[in-house]
Amino acid sequence: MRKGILEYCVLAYLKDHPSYGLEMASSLASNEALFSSEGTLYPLLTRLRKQGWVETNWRESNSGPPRRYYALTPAGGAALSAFMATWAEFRGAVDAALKGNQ
Amino acid sequence: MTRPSAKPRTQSALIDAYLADLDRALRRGDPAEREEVVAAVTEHIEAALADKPQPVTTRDVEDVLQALGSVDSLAAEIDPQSNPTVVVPPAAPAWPRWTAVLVVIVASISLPLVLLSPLASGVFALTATAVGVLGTLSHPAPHKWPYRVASLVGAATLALFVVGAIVAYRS
Repeated sequence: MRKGILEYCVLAYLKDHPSYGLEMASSLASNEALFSSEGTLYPLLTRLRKQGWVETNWRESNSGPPRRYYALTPAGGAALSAFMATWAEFRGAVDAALKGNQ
Repeated sequence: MTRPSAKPRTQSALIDAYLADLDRALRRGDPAEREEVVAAVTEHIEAALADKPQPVTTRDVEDVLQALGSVDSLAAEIDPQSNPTVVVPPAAPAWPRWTAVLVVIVASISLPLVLLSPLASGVFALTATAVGVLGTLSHPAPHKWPYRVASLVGAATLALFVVGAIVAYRS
């Protein structure tokens, strides 16, 4: 169930500001309802980058070695918008269907 | 009561073992993806340990690796089957369409031409048969048939040509 939807959670996280691995891991991927473990974030990010929805660049950090930052691409932004447009309706429909069965 | 920090050797051994396992687990998939994930996870580990109070303990390393999760769960996430990146285009004809049309026309003309101009007919038929055979061999199943038709008609014309020549020679 999570596959395909988790990507959009990551895109939504990056929409507001680019972020680096550890930060995303501690805030987003530490949510056990979404990610079984923090590490699964990284294959997901690689997949998003391959799809052209996320891009990476290196930034200097004053607390150590340069960090790999992830950011949303225009294509990723469009994909996220498209998902968000249909998600509310989908969620509502699923909730209604489940309620109807009680 | 916390143990005094373990030797860094144990810590790097733990980290190296994890990364080696991860590398192995990802071996089934795309090598570039594998490298990228291992690099990102390595960076994560180093950054996580740098954030902890120094010096880092073995327990710290274990905690970071535990939070990352098993390498199998990471490998499952990058499952090549679930990666919809490869699109297979439909098989296209090897030669341009007009070649098929032309060779069928040439073969069809060669047949009645046997009566009017045996020589021209022979040339047409030979060309059509040759191109037809080559075309049949070079094309995948859906695109073979015009060439097959051309080679059959061309061969039939050539056979007529030969028969006609023998008859003419005899009389």
